Amino acid sequence: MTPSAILLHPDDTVICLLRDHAAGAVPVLAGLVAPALHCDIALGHKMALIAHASGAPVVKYGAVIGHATCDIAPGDHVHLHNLAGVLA
Amino acid sequence: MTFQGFPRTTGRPGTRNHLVVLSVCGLNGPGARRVAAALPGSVLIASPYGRGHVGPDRVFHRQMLCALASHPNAGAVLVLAPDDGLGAIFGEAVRNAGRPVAVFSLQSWDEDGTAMTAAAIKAGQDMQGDLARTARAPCPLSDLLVAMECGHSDASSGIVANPLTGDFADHVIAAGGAAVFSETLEWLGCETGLAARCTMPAMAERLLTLVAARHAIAAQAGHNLLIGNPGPQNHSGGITTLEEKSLGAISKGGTSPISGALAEGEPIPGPGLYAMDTPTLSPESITSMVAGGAQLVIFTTGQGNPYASALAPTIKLTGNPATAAHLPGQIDFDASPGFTGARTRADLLPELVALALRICSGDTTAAERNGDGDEVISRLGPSV
Repeated sequence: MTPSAILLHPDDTVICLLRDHAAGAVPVLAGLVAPALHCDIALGHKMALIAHASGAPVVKYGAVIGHATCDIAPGDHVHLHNLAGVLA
Repeated sequence: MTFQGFPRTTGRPGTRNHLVVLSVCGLNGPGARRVAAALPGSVLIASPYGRGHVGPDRVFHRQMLCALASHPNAGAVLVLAPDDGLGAIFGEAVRNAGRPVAVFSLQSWDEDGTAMTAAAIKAGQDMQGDLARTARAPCPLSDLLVAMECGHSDASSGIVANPLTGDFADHVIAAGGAAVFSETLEWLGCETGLAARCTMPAMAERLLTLVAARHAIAAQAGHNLLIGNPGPQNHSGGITTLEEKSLGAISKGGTSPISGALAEGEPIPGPGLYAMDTPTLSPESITSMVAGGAQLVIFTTGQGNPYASALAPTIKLTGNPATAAHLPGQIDFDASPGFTGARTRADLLPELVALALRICSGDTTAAERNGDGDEVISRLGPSV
């Protein structure tokens, strides 16, 4: 099956969606089983692969891109509502 | 792995053997444009300035023109200058690089620009005859210095186009070659990670200083780069934080250790990966990396962007399927199967490497066919 999401770095805690996904869909990832989405998530946006406690680092490109501002469950959309960077 | 290049007596080989028409002062611009137009295939590099520069700006302007005139891809150079003294500086730079040069100054032609350009055209025709007889020869990939740029980015840039370009940089560096990325303000938010990748503590410190200096320039002009960055378009594309945006941009540099943090236009000693301090505008950024010695540019784009270096062939690469479909005459490498999920970056890399070797060996880029090349030298301060 054609992958519908990508893990940019093996250490990442989020995946990037390669197309729009509806709630309940399970992103197809090469060599990895992803959780089902909790809500609709658009192309290019991030989905949590693992649980992040509030304050935990969110990792993409193998680097910390910010910290969870509340608890994030696997399958959650990760964006402005639950992730903040240090700078902006 | 080799490409067919033009070995030089000094420095890296060329991927092109251009006749360069170098106008070192705005006073020579119109004449230089006539000369270049009369010499099909020549490359025009014309500074609109050239007098009244002071301090570091004066030094930088001359260094940049000298570096472009003696670039590996310059096979022969016509220098057009307002006076003998200025012309001689650039003539000497080209001669020291072992390439033929002819210098024309308005002073030596009693200010007769018409007669001077006619003579320059004749000299250029003779040079083009010699250049056409020069054969390419096999050069190892370790002789390559590739510059990485991104412009008009979108979600596909940070997910596929830039990481794939980074894979290419890693490939060239693993073969003993060199790569350079720039646009200092794109490092904002991930500069500590970049500094940690520097092989020498002095370079890590310099890299941090360069970011702080550009940040301070913006702050002094009243711009806070941390407000509204990432912007609404970034947010709707899925980018949340500045760290994330910067990481997506610098992923085009790959994952190699960073051998040096360089000033704008500074010669890239290589091999390895280098970070160069440049402004954000692609023409200035690319010209500075080309002046540093890059003989090939990979320029990723999300939405499209025709601009290219005049001296160094510039591969235009997109990860956006709509852009690849809309601009087939502009895009050299369609990485969008990596964005739709149809193919992986590991699948695409050998094709990008093969394309780059063909282009370094003489195949033309879209921008070369379209005539979209230019060189733009930054200003570091006001003239007097």
